[in-house]
Amino acid sequence: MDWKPLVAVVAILVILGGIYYIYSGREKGPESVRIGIVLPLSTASFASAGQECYRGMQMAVEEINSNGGVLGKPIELVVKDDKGDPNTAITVATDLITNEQVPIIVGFYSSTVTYATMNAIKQYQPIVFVMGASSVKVESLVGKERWFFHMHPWDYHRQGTVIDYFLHYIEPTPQKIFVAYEDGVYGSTSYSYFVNMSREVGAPWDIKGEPFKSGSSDFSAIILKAKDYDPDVFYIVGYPADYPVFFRNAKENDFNPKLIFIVAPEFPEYPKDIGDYVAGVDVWSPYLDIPQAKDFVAKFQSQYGRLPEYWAPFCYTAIKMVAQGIEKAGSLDREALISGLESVQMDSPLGPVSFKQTGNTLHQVVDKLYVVQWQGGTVVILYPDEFKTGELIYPVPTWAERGG
Amino acid sequence: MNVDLLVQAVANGVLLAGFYALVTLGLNLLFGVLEITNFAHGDLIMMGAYATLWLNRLAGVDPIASIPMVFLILFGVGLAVYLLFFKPILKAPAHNQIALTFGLSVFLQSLALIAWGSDLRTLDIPYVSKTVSIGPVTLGYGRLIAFSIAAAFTLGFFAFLKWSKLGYAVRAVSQDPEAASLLGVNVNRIYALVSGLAAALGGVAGVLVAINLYIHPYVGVELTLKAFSVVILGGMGSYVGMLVASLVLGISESLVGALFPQGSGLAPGVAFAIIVLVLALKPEGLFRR
Repeated sequence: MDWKPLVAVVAILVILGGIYYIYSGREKGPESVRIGIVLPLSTASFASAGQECYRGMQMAVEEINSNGGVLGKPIELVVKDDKGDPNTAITVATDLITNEQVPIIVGFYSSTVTYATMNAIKQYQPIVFVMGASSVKVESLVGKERWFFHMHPWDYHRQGTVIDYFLHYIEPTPQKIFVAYEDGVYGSTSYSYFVNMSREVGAPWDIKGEPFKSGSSDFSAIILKAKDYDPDVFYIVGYPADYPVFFRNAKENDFNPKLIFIVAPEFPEYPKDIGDYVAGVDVWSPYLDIPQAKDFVAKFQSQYGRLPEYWAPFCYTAIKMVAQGIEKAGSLDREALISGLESVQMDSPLGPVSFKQTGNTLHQVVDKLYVVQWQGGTVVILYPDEFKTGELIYPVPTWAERGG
Repeated sequence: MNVDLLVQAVANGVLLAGFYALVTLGLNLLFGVLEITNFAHGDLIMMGAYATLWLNRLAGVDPIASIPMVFLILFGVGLAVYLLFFKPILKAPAHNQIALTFGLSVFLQSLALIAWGSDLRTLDIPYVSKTVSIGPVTLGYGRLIAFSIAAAFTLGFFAFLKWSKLGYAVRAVSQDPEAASLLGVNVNRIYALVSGLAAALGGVAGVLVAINLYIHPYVGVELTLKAFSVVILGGMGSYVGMLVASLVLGISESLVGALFPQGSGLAPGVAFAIIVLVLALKPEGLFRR
């Protein structure tokens, strides 16, 4: 008899059992306050943000626990990887609600995944604090629910800032804007908001839009089309992986708009050689002159050796807000916790934060955005005025003027 | 669109085709000789990109100068992959081989994620960002370097196949392993050599990815798809077909993207439409091996 298959099966079962033992032991400490976490930790375009968010959460937990925890107990994160996949996210979120019975779930990144998950779990009415998901489709689904709390600005906050900046801060006001947008929910919704809101405020510019597939290895075609249109501003709504390719292709094709403008331009390995003078809208900046932001950046840098991306302070702040909410509630009772969260007010790396009513959302944290520009390898904050550290360079030098 | 931009679009398409050819070469070689469809090929390219990154960051090696080292490193990886994974499944049904290479792909991605994290990384190499103008056409050094390296390795590989003794042996095994074995060719060694070479060529493509794109555990996913498009269109195992298909895809993507409304979103779809059309008319691809 060939024993090999049987031995293999037994070996696999022993390994799986060992892993379960280790992890179940970790997750079910009886003397802790357990917070459910759902993040994309291992998927193509989303894992970077998910892991950065998790780093911020871990920093917050370390700080809270070293100061005695909440309700006299340490905080414990029950972490689930949604892999950026809606079905996985629904499964792990349902598991956190029904099996793990955590009092609150914090996390979620993409609009598509969050929409599908909220739709599936709303029957349980769990308390969720969503970090990402800027699409208003999510807002219209659950924004008015008392159990729904939201960190990231919505589409209209972002596009409102962009339009306000283009309209009132760029001299002369741009007359032609080419928008290259990724063809998913995030890019398409952002584009339609930009077009509609521009129309509503009577903005003077013509807009030409072109979708692209995020993660492509060449964007020369869209660059040539934009070059043919000859815009004042070339506005790209994509993900960090797309931007270096866009900048390189713009240079290779000698495309010289007066300004290249992107979403979330401050990521750790920003390509400074080709990305100088690029401006963009961001929800946070490590260069903010806020004491808590400076402290957070210093701690993050000493731990990880680089500047944080905005997901780290977002998620750090979220755990701190949840901890304060639990303290205010005095228990993990659902209604008490919702009321506790509603009364949270604190200073944070994002500035003073609380849950405010905005648009169609009962509990929104961030509604203010920043406009920044890379100048000489560093970031200059241009907007809003109270955080301004420099002036916009516009029009930017051509590639030839920069040395070819 | 004016004529200058049209010429620029064609030039971009040709440069892109060179890159596609090198991305595909290893995959095509492996299928041509071992008849294994390797879904982990893009992940070997990803490993080449990381090898370039770390050689640059830790030892200050210029990416172009790192090509021989990356070639050798990935040759070793390919050899290990052959001994551990490919050799045991050489005679297995095709669907088992595909399942294995899918698994290998996920394994390599997870390994990269654990080892180097999910941070997006870029290499700042000043000369790569320079450009040169030839008439109405502007060409980036990065793309030109990529095209030149791709052309050199592709032609070098063809010369190796055609004129070296080992190349003869590879071709013989590719055509009929049993007959080659009877003529004294050590088929197992040729398989090992080809696996190493396929990964090494992927590694060189990884150097080009590192200097022209970005470095991330999942950067190979799109490249695997692209390589499969080229191989299927050109005909599995055909090198002439591979070159023609690379040109067809590179130029068509560039022109469709630049000429048609919403063309940048359409371009990948058009590439696949060409594949479907060609396969409907000529199921074995443009060129039969």
